Amino acid sequence: MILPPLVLSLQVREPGRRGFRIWLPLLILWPLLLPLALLLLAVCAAVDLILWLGRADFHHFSRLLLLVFRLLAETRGTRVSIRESGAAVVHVVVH
Amino acid sequence: MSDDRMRILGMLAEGKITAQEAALLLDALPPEAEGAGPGSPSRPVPKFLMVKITGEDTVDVRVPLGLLRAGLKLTTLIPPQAMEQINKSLGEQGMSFDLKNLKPADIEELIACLRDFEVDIRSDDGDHVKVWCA
Repeated sequence: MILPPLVLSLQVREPGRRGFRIWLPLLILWPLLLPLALLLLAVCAAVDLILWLGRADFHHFSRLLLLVFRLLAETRGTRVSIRESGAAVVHVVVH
Repeated sequence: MSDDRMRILGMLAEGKITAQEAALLLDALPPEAEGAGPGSPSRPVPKFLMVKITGEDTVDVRVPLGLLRAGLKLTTLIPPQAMEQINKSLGEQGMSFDLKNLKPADIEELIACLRDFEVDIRSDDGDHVKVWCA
């Protein structure tokens, strides 16, 4: 089972300033968006069915949507770290 | 097991050739290099694409290869009209690459082969760019 990103961590540090670190709990967001995602999936499935009955060449909108969800889930493990010489440090991690 | 070996064993199972003929044919095949293939168990499939730039500034990026896998699979769902347009544009840029020919098995093989991928650039001003898969 592939889980969506659960936490996004953002850390910024600047010399001479107080840095900050934010943990964005994305896991709270997904249950809220789930009904919307299911609704969108149902609409796409209905559109696909209509297109398929109409013998349209392309009738894969629901598969496309599922693949977009998969793409989102695969962002887990992404890490970006930028450090300027003697200046700011930005650190982003998707958990 | 290679396709040739499977074909010979299939012919033996169907009774098209005898066991002796199958043995002769199997002996004639080149030996399989065990564990040398890109997707073999001894060579794990890479999970991340790593980019590291050091010098005046430092950049460290780690991208999951699952993202690449999902992105390439997305290309298989491009509508035919759009696909023709993309292939035409690729052709104009000198890349005669047909995205329609990209199969899921090819994607897996491509990712497995990234194990050996490494780019290492050192410039005169001390910058060092390294791209690899791990």
